[in-house]
Amino acid sequence: MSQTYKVRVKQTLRDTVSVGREWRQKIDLLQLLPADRMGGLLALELQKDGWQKAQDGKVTKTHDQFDLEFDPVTRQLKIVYEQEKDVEMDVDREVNIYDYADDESRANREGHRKVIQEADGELQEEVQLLEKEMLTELESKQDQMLQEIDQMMQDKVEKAQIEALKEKAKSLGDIQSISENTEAGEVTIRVKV
Amino acid sequence: MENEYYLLLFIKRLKNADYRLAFSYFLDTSFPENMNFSKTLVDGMQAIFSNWILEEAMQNGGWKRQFFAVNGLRERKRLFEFEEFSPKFSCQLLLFLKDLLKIYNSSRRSPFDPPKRDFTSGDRLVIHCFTRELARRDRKALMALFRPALIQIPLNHMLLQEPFLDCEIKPLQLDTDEQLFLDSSMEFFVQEFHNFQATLHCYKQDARLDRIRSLGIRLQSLVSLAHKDFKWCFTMSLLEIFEMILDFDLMNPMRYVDDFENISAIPDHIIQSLILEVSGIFETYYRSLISFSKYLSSFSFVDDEFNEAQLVLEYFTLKFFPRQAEFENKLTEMQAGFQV
Repeated sequence: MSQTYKVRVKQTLRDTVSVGREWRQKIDLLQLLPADRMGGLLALELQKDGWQKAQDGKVTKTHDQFDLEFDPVTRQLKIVYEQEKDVEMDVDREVNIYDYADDESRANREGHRKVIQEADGELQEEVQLLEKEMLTELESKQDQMLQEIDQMMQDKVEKAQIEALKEKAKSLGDIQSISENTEAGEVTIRVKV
Repeated sequence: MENEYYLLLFIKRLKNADYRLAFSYFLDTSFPENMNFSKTLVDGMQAIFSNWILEEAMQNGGWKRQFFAVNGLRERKRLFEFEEFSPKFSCQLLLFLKDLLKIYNSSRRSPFDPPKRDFTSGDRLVIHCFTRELARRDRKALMALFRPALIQIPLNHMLLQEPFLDCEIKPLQLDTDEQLFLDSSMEFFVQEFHNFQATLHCYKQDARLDRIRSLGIRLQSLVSLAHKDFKWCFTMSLLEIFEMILDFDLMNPMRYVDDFENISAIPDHIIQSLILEVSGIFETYYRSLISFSKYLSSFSFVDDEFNEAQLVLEYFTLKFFPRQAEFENKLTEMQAGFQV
């Protein structure tokens, strides 16, 4: 005996698309004080701007979906972009399965396998499309973001260098006066040695 | 009596790292019921185990006078001069060996899961010596097989081998015997580092980076123990590792890239991140050694630790200070080499 079965499959398929990219930059600081102290001063400046200090001494911040982490010891800035999106597909299909030995459970299994395999292929296409979209989104904003982060770090580096200069001057003698011209990026320190 | 002879032979074979013979010619069912042994056998086993521990320690620096800092005990001695060092053994060690046999003889698909056992410090030291021997002979498959049993021993977490590399080390929570043993036999750690760097090229780029990350965490913990918890006996080993980083060209970016013939095919930012991260790990280690040396020089002659600190500083004068400039140059070269 053989028979054709109509198998109905109702299932939800899920997948997660994640797009991630990481950049590292060495932040150049003038060697006014020992390297680790310079890194420490920059970390302090960043903390004033809302960066959080972690237990290992690194400071972190999230800047518009970009996670930033600065290590004062190595003076490296780590920029991480990570996005995850779930893709879901509801499957409710019917297939005709011919079973030569009239085995209902085997026909059922075969039907499930056929539908899921077909739907999985479609899901993967959707996943690839979404991944492409997410990558395009990242490409479109990455340059601007990196530039913004660079500019922000540059400002902080200048402030940290001014602080380092003051600290250096303090170690040379008594500071008489300090005048800062922030627009021109100039600092004048009079020290009595 | 015959079984006792074979049991002793099994233990001797384990000690001599003759694993194939040991595990093939002795069964877990051959252990006497209720673990009843004759006095001769107990004495024999005791002698093998004590010798095993002492030999391992002596061959890895235990014969040197070192500054120990264990649970408030701070003395400059050799390992065997400590009255406190007297490891005791229990029946649990034999049950552990029985567990190993069960694992070895069980199906690889569903291996025997060993129970947690209440070991004495002597038991743990013997198991650690056994693990060291496996690591020394690079018996990766056996270590992976016995992983559930070996990971129970906190001292094993010091090793740089696969199942233990990611473990957090807590030497201060070990027993006095274990701490004394570890502190006096740190030369093994240098050997481990040597094997670690020699096998680095066997891994893929991502796995290699993961291994270096775990190594960085391990080195940081060791320097921190030396710096903050008076584990000054670690210093020589840490400085030897510093020298090995230079001597074995670990700061060559090419060691971390998979396919340097097709390097142009890899996006610049990936290579830059990789190299900067690796260089950062070495720089953190280097800077932590500098702050440790500064801490040592901060002791003045009125401090109790002054003399000891001067002795430890001599190691720095010998191994670290002369090569500081070289290390910094390599670091700069490494970071500049892949700037884009």
